[in-house]
Amino acid sequence: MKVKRIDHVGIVVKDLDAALATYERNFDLQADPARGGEVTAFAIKNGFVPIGGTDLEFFSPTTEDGPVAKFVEERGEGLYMIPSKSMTSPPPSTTFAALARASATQSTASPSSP
Amino acid sequence: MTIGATYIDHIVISSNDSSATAKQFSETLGIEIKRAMVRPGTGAHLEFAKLQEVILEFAGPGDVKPYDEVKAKLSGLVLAVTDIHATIAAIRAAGFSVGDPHPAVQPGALFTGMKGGTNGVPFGFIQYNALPPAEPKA
Repeated sequence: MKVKRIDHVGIVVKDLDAALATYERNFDLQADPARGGEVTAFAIKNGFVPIGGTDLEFFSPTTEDGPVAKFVEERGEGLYMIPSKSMTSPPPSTTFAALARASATQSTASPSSP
Repeated sequence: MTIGATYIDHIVISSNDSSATAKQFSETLGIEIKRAMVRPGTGAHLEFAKLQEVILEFAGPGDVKPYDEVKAKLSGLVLAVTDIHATIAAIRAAGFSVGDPHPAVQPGALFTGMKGGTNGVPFGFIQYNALPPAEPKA
């Protein structure tokens, strides 16, 4: 497999509407109204905020016992996964997302200068 | 008010062994590690890969201690902005804490970090071509 690009960055939040409002009000980063909504298979609802060629996907749990709800309960809000698009199978997103999610933890430190 | 973000410049993945983390990503995902360096001043070991416009930055200590397993985490996002001073003003006006800009590793770029981030996500901001080119040495 060869990963080609990062498709989006997943950020789990407790309250999706409040998070999207925060980013729009304070940072003028606006959700794409054509995308997002409830994803019953994953027990989440989500919204996408495009920045350049990559999206920020904000999502919050819709049940109290799903994996995302468990993540929020254990680690709080924060970075969750970085799904990518690959040039070959297996299906896109699978491996990178799994790898990233496995290592993802919330951090309160500021990112470093590149 | 806008922060003038144009794209996600890089995603920081920190670990107790950044070389091992970068190697694992490279081998698993077919990502080419383009650059490795020691950050001046802190001694941190950094490795970089680039996927189209987005850089993956693998960050870890320069002095790697013995460990049982590599522990990595997604630790922040850095957004490219058009005017970092305007960005900082906008963020401060919104009530968030952000540091003053300082030169980044990349020549001519300025960087600042949003302390504490928001919604659990630490953010940084970088403006390229923010500083005049260095004078050539005589």
